[in-house]
Amino acid sequence: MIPKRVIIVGAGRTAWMAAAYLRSALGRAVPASPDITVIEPSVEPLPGPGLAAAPTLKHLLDVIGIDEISLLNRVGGTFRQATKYENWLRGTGDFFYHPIDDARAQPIDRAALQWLMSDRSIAFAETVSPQPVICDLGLAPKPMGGAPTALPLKYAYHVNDSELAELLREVATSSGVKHCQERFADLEIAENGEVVAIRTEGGARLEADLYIDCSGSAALLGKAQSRVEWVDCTRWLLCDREIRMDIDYSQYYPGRVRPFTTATALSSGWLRDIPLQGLRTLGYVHSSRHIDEADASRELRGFEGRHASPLGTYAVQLEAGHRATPWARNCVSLGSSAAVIEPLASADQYLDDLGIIALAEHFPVSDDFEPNEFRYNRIMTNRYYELLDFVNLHYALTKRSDSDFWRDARKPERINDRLQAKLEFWQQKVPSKSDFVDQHLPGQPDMPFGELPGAQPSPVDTGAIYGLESYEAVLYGMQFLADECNAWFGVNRSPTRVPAYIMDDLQRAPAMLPPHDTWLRKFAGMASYPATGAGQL
Amino acid sequence: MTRNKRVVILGGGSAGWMAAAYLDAVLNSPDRRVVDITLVESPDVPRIGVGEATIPSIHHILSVIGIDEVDFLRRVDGTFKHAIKYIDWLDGNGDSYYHAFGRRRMQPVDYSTSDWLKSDRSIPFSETISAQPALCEACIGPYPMPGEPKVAQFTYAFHINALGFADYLCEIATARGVNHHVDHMTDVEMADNGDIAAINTRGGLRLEGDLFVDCTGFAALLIEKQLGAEWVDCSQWLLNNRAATIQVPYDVNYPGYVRPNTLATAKSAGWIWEIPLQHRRAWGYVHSDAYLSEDEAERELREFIGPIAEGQAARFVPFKVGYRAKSWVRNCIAIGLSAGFIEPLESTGLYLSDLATVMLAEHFPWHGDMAPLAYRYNRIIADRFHEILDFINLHYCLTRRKDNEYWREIGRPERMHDRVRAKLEFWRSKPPSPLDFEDAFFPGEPRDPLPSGGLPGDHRAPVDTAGVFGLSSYEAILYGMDFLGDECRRWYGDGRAPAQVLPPIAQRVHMAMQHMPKHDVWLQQVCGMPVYPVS
Repeated sequence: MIPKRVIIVGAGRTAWMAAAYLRSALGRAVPASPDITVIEPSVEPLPGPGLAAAPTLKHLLDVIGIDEISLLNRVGGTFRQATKYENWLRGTGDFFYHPIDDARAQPIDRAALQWLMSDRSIAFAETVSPQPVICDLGLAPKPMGGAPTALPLKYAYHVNDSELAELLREVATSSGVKHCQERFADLEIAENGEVVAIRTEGGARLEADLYIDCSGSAALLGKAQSRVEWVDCTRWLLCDREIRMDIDYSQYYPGRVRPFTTATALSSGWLRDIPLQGLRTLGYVHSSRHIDEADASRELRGFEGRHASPLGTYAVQLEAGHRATPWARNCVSLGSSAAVIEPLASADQYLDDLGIIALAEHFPVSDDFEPNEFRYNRIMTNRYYELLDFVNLHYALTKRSDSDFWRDARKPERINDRLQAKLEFWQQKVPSKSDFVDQHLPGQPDMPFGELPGAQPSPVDTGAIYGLESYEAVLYGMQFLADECNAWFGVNRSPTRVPAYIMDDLQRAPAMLPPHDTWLRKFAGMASYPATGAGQL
Repeated sequence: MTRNKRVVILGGGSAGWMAAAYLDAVLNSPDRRVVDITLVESPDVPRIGVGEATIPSIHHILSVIGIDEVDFLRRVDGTFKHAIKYIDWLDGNGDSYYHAFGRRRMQPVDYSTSDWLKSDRSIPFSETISAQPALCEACIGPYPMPGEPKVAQFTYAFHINALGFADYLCEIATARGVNHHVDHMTDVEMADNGDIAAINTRGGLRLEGDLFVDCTGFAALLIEKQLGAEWVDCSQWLLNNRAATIQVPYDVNYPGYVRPNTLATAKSAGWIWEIPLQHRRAWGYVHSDAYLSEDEAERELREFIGPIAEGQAARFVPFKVGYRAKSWVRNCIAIGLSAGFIEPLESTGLYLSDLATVMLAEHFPWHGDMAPLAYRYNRIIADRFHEILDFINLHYCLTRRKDNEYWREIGRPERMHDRVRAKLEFWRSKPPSPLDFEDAFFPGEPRDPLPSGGLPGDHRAPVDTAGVFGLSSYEAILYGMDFLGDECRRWYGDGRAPAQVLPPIAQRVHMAMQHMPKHDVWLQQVCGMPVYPVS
């Protein structure tokens, strides 16, 4: 029998995203669209901060049917064209951009090789994308309207998590998703681990064919299934906690809205700065083994400045790891009940989004869920480790040793064996497209992340999320192959050149693209604030 | 960097000249020549050349080398190819379907496949998602007359004369500085470390090199005769091992059209290709010598072509299905038949050379130890070989033909690759979808699906990441061959809604019929194809 009833447990963005997306995507894809009910846990969700969405959010919203203007108006959203990494290499004011738009030359892309052969007088990212300069100028990625979008730039969004959850709830419930008025209390589990029913606080008993756990770290369903083990990954990713702070523009407005996310390395982790229309969310992602909560909070306030001292903070746990089988029998865990990874490079958002997209794609069309479960778990495992590698890469390349944290992060055992094999291979041959076909590189052990459940082969990295262009942005942003290039190409090299197609874009950009906040005020309902900051980006 | 790297290519067929021209284009630029390339071809060795069908990957090679498409078509006797039409593959009673190169995918989610699965299948799948089957039936190519507006951007490949292609590339490459010697290799000098140091020729040449590329076909003079690289036989999954070919010039018979597609018709012990060029048509009967003698194969082929084949000589080309366990050994890289071959049911003959050439350019050993580069190169080539093998095997796995011993043998379980079996079983519980193609590891599949355990020299199983045949290609074959027919009846019941052509596809077909010329007319006017009287 095809699942007819789906129950989603959760109250946040992931729960409502899953409900709205499954509702839309399954409409035509499976023989009969299931009934979907969302039931909220009794625990109040954490205050919803700003989050740096992954580009996959656009796909989810397109399918659900939420357009860009509605989104930005409803969730205080802003544009996100890049991540700017500050102080990651040496902690002495160094920075690099990882732009979202990175269109390379056809039919053959020689950008990296040409940059490596040059004297590096211009940053790599600026030779492959106009976005670093557009970010520096604080411009929106779109014109004021009327003007042709002659400079089509790819981008993602910053959104307010709880406002997005609210918007999705409205859309989902108006398209037929049921919202259970009673809170989740308990569940019944059969001996074989299947969920049999859910009980509400009011004593009602609800049955479904498929249960979806979006209850976050509480993992109300997943945890109850005793066979579903958690795979800890904190030996590679040390950061396990985040201290967050929201700074309302009515208290402090820096005078600009950055069209990018900033990730600044601090003493024991890194700080994300996410600009929304009415506030900024700051989050100090750090290692609790290297700094306690009070010191982390102090460092965060000190970094932001005097205006931050009266503001409250709150802590969130972030221990990296994943459920070995996020889909187990008739229960699928999504979001942080399935996997946790620090939010560098929007890795957490990619996992949340992909979990939902992959579930719709693998939604059972028969009563045998097992094959779908197998593939879903395999894909989510592949992607988890793909992201783990990419996040790990930022730490593997740092030259900082100014604190216990950075000294620890650089230890060889903190770099996973697959990433190590990639870096060693790339010292022999610069990274290129086909390295991302099946990242099994010379010298790599068979199971670089240990044995996986079900005697699976090693996870495969196909560069599905972060491929060559993203790796190049981080590798060359952090001066990978600097010594090798001196040996290969000598030290007197010709000056770096920006290709003509990017120069053209940059010449047209200032006339065509307005400042980010100007665009937001005109199209997204952003309020005006007196600038209390210096107007610096 | 010190002195230029020296690459010596042995063999002057399409593989050798593709390697020469592409490597030169990628590695050298007019103002900076850093690699010296020399190609040696023997005057004694006849080149193998039948009409060749390509896949769209060929565009990359052509555009990197800087080849103009019209010039190319003129020089290689070329025609356009939208698709392959498969005839008699399912039941052998006139059934047919198309595998078209292009398809329309709707955004943000493509429901066209699930819509078709829910329908009554009254229109074949490929016709609902691509305009190309209709264009093929009408013999219309991908382009309007020069100056006329384009109807759509079609994804296409070519039919070419492979020998003409080799000659054309030779001209381009030598004009740019590639050295060319027509001379016969007499012996190979080895270095103490096991590398090839130089080759000597009858004409007294001694050619040293940093890298030697073996394009000597099945003879495999360097990679096998010299370096002893193992050949991995794959005939367990693909029985055919010989082709009988006949060509009929348009002077003798011109049917009145040039098909913009390849035909592949299943026959008693294999299948027959039909490839149209600008001056002739070429047929080839790919079959198994265990089931047909040369005489029987020739007779069946002649019967298929009809009286127009009278007086045209038949040629026999034996082949073996398999690949070199390592096609890069020490400083020698095998490209072309010396590295591997799969029967050309999906026109992957030239593709394997094309891929090897592109991968060699990407993994070119500029400095230091070649071993890590060779490791990766061999892994990628083997992954891709097995990916293609799966896909060719799929055609045989889905047939319902049982009309003779050959087809009954094909139907035996051991003729189905374990990974293909795992794919097909999985797809009976969920129709194929995009994420299936990022790492084709499926329930029930052994960790090492190959009888030998894993890939030779790298015991891990090959990984299929759909580098060449992805979801669209699989759907074309699966649904062309009635896969999930029974399951859909169960899932969706009887009395299903009629199948529908996607509106933008119907629109394209309509526009093309009104505004686009016949394929032969376009070739006549743009490429100078002669006008033949219709027989």
